Amino acid sequence: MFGTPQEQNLRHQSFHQRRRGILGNTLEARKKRLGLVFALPAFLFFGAFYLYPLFQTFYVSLFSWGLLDDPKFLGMTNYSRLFTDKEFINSVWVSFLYSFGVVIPIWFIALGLALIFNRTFPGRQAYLTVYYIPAVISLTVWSLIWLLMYNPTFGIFSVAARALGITGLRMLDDPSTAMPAMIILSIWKGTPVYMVIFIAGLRAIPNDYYEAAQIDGANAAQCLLYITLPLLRPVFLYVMVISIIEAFKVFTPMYILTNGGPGSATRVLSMFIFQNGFQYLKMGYASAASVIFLLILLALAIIQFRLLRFQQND
Amino acid sequence: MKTRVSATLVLSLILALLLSACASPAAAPATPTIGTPSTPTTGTSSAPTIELLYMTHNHAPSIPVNEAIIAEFEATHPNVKIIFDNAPHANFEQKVLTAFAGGQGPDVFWAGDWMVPQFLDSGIIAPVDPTAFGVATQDEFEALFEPGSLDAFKANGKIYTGGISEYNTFSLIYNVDALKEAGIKPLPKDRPITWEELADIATRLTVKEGDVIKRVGLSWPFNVPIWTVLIQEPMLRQKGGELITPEGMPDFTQEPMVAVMTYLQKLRQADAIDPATYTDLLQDFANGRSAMIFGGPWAVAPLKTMNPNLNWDIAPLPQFANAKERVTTLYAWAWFVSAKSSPEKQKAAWEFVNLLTSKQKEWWEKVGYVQARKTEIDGKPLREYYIQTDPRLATIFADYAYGKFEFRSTKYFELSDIWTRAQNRILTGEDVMSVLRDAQAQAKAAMTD
Repeated sequence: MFGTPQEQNLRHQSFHQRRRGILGNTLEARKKRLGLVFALPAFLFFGAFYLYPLFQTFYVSLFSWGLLDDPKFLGMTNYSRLFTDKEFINSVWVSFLYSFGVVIPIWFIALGLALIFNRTFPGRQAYLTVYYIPAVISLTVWSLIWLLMYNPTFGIFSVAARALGITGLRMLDDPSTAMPAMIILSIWKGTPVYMVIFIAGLRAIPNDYYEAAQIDGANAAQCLLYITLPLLRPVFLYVMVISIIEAFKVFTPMYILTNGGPGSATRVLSMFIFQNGFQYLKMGYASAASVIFLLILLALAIIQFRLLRFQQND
Repeated sequence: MKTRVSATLVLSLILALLLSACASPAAAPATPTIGTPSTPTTGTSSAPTIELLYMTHNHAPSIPVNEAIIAEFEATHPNVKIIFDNAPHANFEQKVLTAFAGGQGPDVFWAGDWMVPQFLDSGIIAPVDPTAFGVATQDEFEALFEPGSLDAFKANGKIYTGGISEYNTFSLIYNVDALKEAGIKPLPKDRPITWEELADIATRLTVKEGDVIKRVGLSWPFNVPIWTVLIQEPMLRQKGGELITPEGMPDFTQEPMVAVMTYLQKLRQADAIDPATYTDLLQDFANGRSAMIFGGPWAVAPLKTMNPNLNWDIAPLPQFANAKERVTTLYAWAWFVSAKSSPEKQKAAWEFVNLLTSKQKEWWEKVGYVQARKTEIDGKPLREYYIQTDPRLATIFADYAYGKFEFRSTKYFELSDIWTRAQNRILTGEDVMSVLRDAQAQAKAAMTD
């Protein structure tokens, strides 16, 4: 059960080496201690502003608490209620619909634009600036602009649709078009950021690979398939994880354009949590929904890491 | 050696940073101590200074009026210092509640009447001290105000406000020229038209070019839950319904609610209303994008400024042809004093509220807020004075007499959200009864929490 005496001895030695590694008086030990000291502020920050709220959220989720009254312990009741709450289930579904509706097009559009802007051509910088403008506009301002653009009377979408012979376009007022409306504005807003990340990734690929491939007779498509995309894998993973998390956290456009409506067609999970927590003062219930939210994001991140077989040396 | 010196330096730096983070900034201005009187640092008076935190929403015209009244109060009460905090209108109530939850609640604050059940449930509002208003009893205090105006603030035989900062009802505001163009006579002022007549008029006033609505007949903010309640609750009550049953439970599937929702769906199907065209209540009306709106006395001054050439008038809030009784709406923002504040702070706070409520002229002329505390201005009773500033207000004031405050519930926000979501689904054409059954299930779940 504890291995052979040799193995036990090795483990014993290893433990003491590690212990000496931190507490000893060698140069290496001192360096390690100094490293810990430098890392301490980050640990403190992470602990105070991430770990503590995380555990506190889970703790609160076990109570019924209206901010101003005394918390009442409920155990897992908030969780069991969530799984029978149609509005919560709808919010989870709406969040998935929105997130994947936004991120999948963003990945391809951002990568395509990055490949274009990675080449040199006249006016490249000017085009790049124009494409990046949505990223620097505040999301609130962006949402208000799109609120006007979606107006069925004078909004640009309705005007354009009428010019094409499409009548009766009511983007925000129709449950079947309200979510696509949110997705379109979010793709437009989010693409430039990821485009820049892809450009940075592309520039990090050594030119030698392409030169070698050209000598071997590879064409552009083969360079893309066998050099660019494999070497962009870590960047792609980063973009996937971050974009999905960002998309799941969406709140502002729904709050400004539809307030979650029509009905609950655009009531995403973050809006459900906000309303329950800060409008209805159901802190325990909102915390339970937040914990589920976290678990969903965690599961998605794990799946993505597995799918791309991410390794530390990537 | 170098490493040891570096480690010592880094540790010292972190320690210094932590200590500086914990300590009060030396150069920062003195922070008001909420809840305890403090000794003045300047001046000749040796009396302790009472610091009151006064919190309001940030309706722009109200800020200078509040500041002027604060200055006047401080001049006559040198031992009182008022810290004025105004916050954005959206979610203002949540800010007040979270401030209380964090132990930093205001001593005096504005809030809507719909918050009273939640405030009482949490024990954060104090019953009025009539002596601060120059009267001896609560009955005498109530007599200082318009009859019925304090009804929403009463509980357990006590009154939990020092007065109303904004007293409102809704009437029908319409574009006279738009009616004339459609061959419709100006609406009567002495009696309400029926909702059925309104549907017909609104449909005729809607102007379409192809499928595009250039002007919608009737409009209100369809996505704002409080508006849902303010518009639909009088309709529900006219039909004999109440959202909250005598047992304290909401009833979304009652017959009057079905009738109201069916009526709204028909309005939408006839293009008499269209949530998609809504951008801003008063701007849409002033710019001719809507022909009729619901509004209170607060709408009068802005409309005159937004479009001085617009020919508009006011009619009483409609009622159903088979209405059981004539009902309009009432809602109010009021001044509250915190029950969490010390007795001496509460006393000073009530005296401050007394001054705030006695500035009826300023509140009307500079902010457009109708007051409920009786007075005479320029030798005229308050309402006559208001009407003198714009005769159209007479119709709105007549509607107050039929007003009822919104439903009382500690779950006000949740129920009004459920109501709004149901309304929006019904306006998109969903089956009324199945939507209301969903709403009822959600409301039941909300109440059991």
